[in-house]
Amino acid sequence: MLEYSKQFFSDLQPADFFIVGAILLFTLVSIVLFIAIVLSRLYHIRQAIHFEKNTETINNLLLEVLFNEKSYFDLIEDKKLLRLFSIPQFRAQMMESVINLHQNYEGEYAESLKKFYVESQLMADSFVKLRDKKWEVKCKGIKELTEMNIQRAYDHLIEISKTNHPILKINALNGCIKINGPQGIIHLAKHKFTIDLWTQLNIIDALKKTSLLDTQNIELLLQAKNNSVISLGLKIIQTFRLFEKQSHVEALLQQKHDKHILKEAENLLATFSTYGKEIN
Amino acid sequence: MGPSNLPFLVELYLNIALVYAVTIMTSYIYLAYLSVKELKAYSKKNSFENYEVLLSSEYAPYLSIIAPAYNEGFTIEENVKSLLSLNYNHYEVIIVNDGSKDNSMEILQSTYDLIPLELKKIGSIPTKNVKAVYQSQNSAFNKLIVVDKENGGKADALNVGINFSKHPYVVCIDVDCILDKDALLKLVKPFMENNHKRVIATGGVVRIANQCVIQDGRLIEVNIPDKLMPRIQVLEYLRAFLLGRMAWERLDGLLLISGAFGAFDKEIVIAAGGYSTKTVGEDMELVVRMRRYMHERKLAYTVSYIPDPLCWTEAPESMDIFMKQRSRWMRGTIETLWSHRIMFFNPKYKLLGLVSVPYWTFFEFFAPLAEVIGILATLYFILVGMMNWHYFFLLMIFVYAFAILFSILTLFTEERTYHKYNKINDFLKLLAAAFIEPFYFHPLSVISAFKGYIDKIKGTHSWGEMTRKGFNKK
Repeated sequence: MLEYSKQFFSDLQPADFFIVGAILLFTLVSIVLFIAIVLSRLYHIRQAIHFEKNTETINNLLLEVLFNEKSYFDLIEDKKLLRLFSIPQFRAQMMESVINLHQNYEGEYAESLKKFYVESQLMADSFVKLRDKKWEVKCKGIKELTEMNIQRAYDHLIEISKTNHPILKINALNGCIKINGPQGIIHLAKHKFTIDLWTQLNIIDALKKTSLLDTQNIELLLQAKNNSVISLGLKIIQTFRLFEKQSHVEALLQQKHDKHILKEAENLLATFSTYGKEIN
Repeated sequence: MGPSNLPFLVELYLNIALVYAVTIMTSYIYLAYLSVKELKAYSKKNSFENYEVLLSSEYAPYLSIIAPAYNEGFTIEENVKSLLSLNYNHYEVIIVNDGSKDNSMEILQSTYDLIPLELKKIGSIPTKNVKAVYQSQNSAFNKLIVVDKENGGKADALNVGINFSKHPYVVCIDVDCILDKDALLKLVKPFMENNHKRVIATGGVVRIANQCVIQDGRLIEVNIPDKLMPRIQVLEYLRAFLLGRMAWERLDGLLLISGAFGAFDKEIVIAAGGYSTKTVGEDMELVVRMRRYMHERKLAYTVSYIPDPLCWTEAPESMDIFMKQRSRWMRGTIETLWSHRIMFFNPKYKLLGLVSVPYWTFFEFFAPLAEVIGILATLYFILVGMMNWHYFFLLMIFVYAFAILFSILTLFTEERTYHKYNKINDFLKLLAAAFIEPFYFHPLSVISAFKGYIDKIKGTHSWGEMTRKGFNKK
């Protein structure tokens, strides 16, 4: 066999060398990819097992926080739990559970969860995420901090919302709205990048979900130099039927603007007029 | 030419074959690299998107789904119901009965309580005569419009649908496809995202549904087909959609949006002249023509593409139907490339003219021909006893090893992204299919494509009957 192989390779021409080399490379990469698929499946199975195991611990722990008024410091008296808290995977899963649970609770229970979030340094983890270079990590941090309504994050969110990255911008603006209601987007009046329709609809959706309805100064969006911001302002006024802003829309029509903006403003006034007639 | 020249000719032929193979392989690897990058970016972005925003917004774009139906009586009732229950508010469904010879129209009339409607067409694309337009009396089906027309083929039926559609975006689909409930939410998003370039079309991935379980017009269980022919097509579709079209989207050189599932900006479709009834590859031809229209007017535009598995279709299981389908695809490719030959290596069309069209010409149109020439040349060299067997076998193993590598790369990509085939058995079946494909499926594809050349030369223009077996229902 060895003799044959030696003979085979000694007979090869330069083109043959290339082909044989390529065949060996293709075979090797195929085997590596196959092993990668197998390992990926095994990894997912292992992750699922760990997840199951952690879920039980986390559920028990959060039940203690919610219903037995245990603080983080009470819980870490158990050295096993303290050790678990230092494992990144456990912390990440813990963060997810706390955030998910917080979405479903209000009042005292929500407050207990927030207290736990702060004491356990999960909040610090979220702030670290805001400083990460990766936009997706930043988004995660934003979601966590805004779900917990951490007012201290507001200025960071305003700063992040000035980005040109569409998804990061949506998440940051949603965060601003969640923490500060409609006032969280007034700064967009000076926004320099275009806000596409998808982002606009996300902002309006976030406004619909907020319980804060202070729409004071929302008309400042109509004075922006950025057409997409004006368009957003018009959509907000129409969606929330802000009749009191009608004069600002009429004033907008008197100015020189892009024809799409003028059409949108005209449509808004027409809708208001129809709506007014229906009410009467 | 004397026999003394033959060894040189054999050598030359084998070297040309090697260069051609290496060029195709390099392009595949490069496209796969771009696709994987694009897929990763898409998956990351997608995990932060909230598509439900569109469900509650009065500003969500309005869509018209257009589904041509020809002799679909067996499945039309359920298929239409499934189209009417998609997760989206602002849409209408236009079923265009293209002169079916079966009872499709009667089924639609009785199931949906249809009454004739005085509806004037809005678009101006020339089409065959429309017999009548119907709307349902039942308010539960108020999104449904049925247009009954003379038979004129799929392209003509789609044009009729476009002419009658009320909304600015048209979603053209095959009526027998199974759509994901959120398909419209995902398909419409690209139209709302790009401010600097007009999105003129969005395509979605089509996957094979043979052996999958369907309940109430929705796919509820993904399985690998039992038969080898559709099973290999699963692999083929994964390769084409996951490792091919994503790359072309990234390069902004996508020439084809599958006729089974795509959304278009109606204004541009009408301005470009609608679907061409002169070709059997009307889906590709329309995209190329719309792109040409935008290029020639120097309008900023793009064509978008969604990698999520949103549309599931039945693949041919019999050799006869498979060959008809592939022959038609080849005819469609030839007709489109010929109609737009002005773009070939034309710098005026930038990437489209310099890369996309030549790529399709050399690697989609010409590849089967090159293979047939290769087989004939090989036979000749064997007959005259001049075959360099050593080099020949090396080349064969080289191509085979690459085919296997590329299929495993596809499986790896699917594994790391959508992971739809999660049963170990299904994965092993696909892996085995990858090893069999070059000996069984690939030669059939080449023969079918070659039949396409011959049919084109003979002037055949028909689609051929595409009998469907229907899906597994629960």
